[in-house]
Amino acid sequence: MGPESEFSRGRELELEASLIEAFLSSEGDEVFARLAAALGKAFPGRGGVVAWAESWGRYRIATEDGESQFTLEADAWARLPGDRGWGGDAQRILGLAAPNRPRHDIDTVLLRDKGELLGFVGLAGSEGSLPLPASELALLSRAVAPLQAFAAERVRQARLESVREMTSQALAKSERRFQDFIESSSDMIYIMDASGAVVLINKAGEELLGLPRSRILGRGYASFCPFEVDRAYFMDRLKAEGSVRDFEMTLQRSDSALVFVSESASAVLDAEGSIAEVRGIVHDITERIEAQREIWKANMELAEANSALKRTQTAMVQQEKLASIGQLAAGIAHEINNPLGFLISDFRVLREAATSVSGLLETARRAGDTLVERSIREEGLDYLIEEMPKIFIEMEEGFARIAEIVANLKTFARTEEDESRTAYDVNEGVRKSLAIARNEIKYVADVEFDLGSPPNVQANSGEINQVFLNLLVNAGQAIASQSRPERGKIKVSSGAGKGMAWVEIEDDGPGISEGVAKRIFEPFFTTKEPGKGTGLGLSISYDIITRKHKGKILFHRAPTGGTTFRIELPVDPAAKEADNG
Amino acid sequence: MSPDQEDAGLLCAAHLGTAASLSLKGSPPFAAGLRIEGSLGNEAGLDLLRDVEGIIRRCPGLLELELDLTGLNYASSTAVGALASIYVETTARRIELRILDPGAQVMMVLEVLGFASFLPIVRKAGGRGA
Repeated sequence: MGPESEFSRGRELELEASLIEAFLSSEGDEVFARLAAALGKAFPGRGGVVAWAESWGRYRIATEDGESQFTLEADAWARLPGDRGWGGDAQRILGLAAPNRPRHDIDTVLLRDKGELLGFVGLAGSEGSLPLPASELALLSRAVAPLQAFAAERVRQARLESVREMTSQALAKSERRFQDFIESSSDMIYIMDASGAVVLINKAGEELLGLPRSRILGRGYASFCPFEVDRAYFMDRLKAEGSVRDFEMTLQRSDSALVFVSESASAVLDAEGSIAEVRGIVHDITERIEAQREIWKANMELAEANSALKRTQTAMVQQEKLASIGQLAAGIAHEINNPLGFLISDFRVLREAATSVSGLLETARRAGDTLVERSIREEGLDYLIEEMPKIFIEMEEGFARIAEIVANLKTFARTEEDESRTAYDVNEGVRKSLAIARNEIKYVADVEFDLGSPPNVQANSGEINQVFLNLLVNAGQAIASQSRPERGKIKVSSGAGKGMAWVEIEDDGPGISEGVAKRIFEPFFTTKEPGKGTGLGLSISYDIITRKHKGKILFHRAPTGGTTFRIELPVDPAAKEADNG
Repeated sequence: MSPDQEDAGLLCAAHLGTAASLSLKGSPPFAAGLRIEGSLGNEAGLDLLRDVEGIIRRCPGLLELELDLTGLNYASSTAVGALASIYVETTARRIELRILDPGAQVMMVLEVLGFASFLPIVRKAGGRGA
């Protein structure tokens, strides 16, 4: 080995030692700058450069003057023209590393580990400097060789660190994105742990519950649920199904106001199937509910008003019809009354004449007038003369009945103005009504009377008679509906007390059920067979007694069957009205 | 199920978590009983309304309709709104509606919505309380 070689070997060892010292005496990324400085010191006029792969495709570069990063596609290394002369790339890389110190060519020794390029160490020349002689480059290469393994380890560590940092940054970014997403939601988002405590809540949740986050976190979610039952059912479903969608419940704000919400949530179950965590999104639907409530309420009120209107309209039409029928009946009664008058008059004349003729014939027979005797026998007048008095009695009774019916019809159908009132005897009224209802009753029931002496009331007789008629006909029809072998009984009572005159009509029919009792005064409600009742009788009666006459219409259901209706009418309606007022 | 009961064709019974059965009284029917169990969500509630409209169409002489909610654990506001619609329908047709024994949660929704005072709610003797 010549002196030159020895010198070269000495420089090589010195460089190797300085590089190893730099490597061992520094920590972290500082090692690369120390290496660069050691290189620069070993090759005067050149600047030391160390580059290493921080992660795949991204490199860091250190010079004596500073440190920077650059990105180089992996295949760009493959395009490098060997171990020296990077030209533009070197310029760019060095420019990045030391922008205030322009350099041109760079001579490099690539660092590899099992074929993978880890980085390089290089020497950068100043502008106009000649390329590094091959012997110098070889010296550099040899001096660097022992560093390969150290460098590989450092690069691996650096890469690991870089990955950690990138992961950490990515996580932080993801976390920020997640937070932004949650915070920007207009719906409350919450997470509840296994104990039921809120561990996450967003801004919308603070607003919904009316509390700052600090007072919500750690607090049991159930404490915001005023109705334990819906939360319990919600949790049951969550446990059974794993998730629940659009479940409506009520929450209570800090100011005690109730908030109606729709919640969708999913449960995270532990190994034993218990709920470990609940993640929920809560949408405030209070406004929607309130709007719906108003609409539904208006709908229901409208429906009820419509129904009432229909009932009233129908009742009015029916009353109008009844009034017309009453007028018609009064007209017919009047028309019958006139011929009835002369029929009765003529009957009386005829009866007197017939009685006289009969007397004359009888006198002639007694006087032995054979002609008369023969004529009577031949014409069969014996029987007629004998029966004539009975026939006249029956005819007289018939005329009397017709006259009574006509009189009742006229009284019953009296067309008075609604407000007109006359002195009315309830006993007389119920008797007249019974006469009209006779056909409905006479075949099925006997009528008993227990009439007191109630004072007259001020009433529209036609209307009150109509009420009595309804009650009497109903009683007869109720008894008839049983098709029982024995005759029924209708008892009519009257009396007075507490400023009221009253009439009771009691039957021993089947009675009325509780369901029917509830609706008995409703228009069109009937238990009769189709065609036998309009369902208006009692509703009209109710109107006549309670509204028009300020009285009462009551009924009593006997446990063993049978029904008693009681009508009470104020003796002095003005006084009664004053009492009510 | 007794001979006068049927559940075929009830739309609301097709929903997950909802069971329903119908019983009719009389021939032609004058009273109908509809028993709803489980939960009544938005869609099931609207289908219940359709079911009731169908029953009213099929039974023109209907006088009474009883909705037995004894076994109903949950009703959404839309479902409760459907109950209100049923009330409107039955009122317009002079059918007496009875809502029998709603559970506590359903009762709570009825009260929050302000329907409890409107709807004809009947408590069964020995039924559960609100």
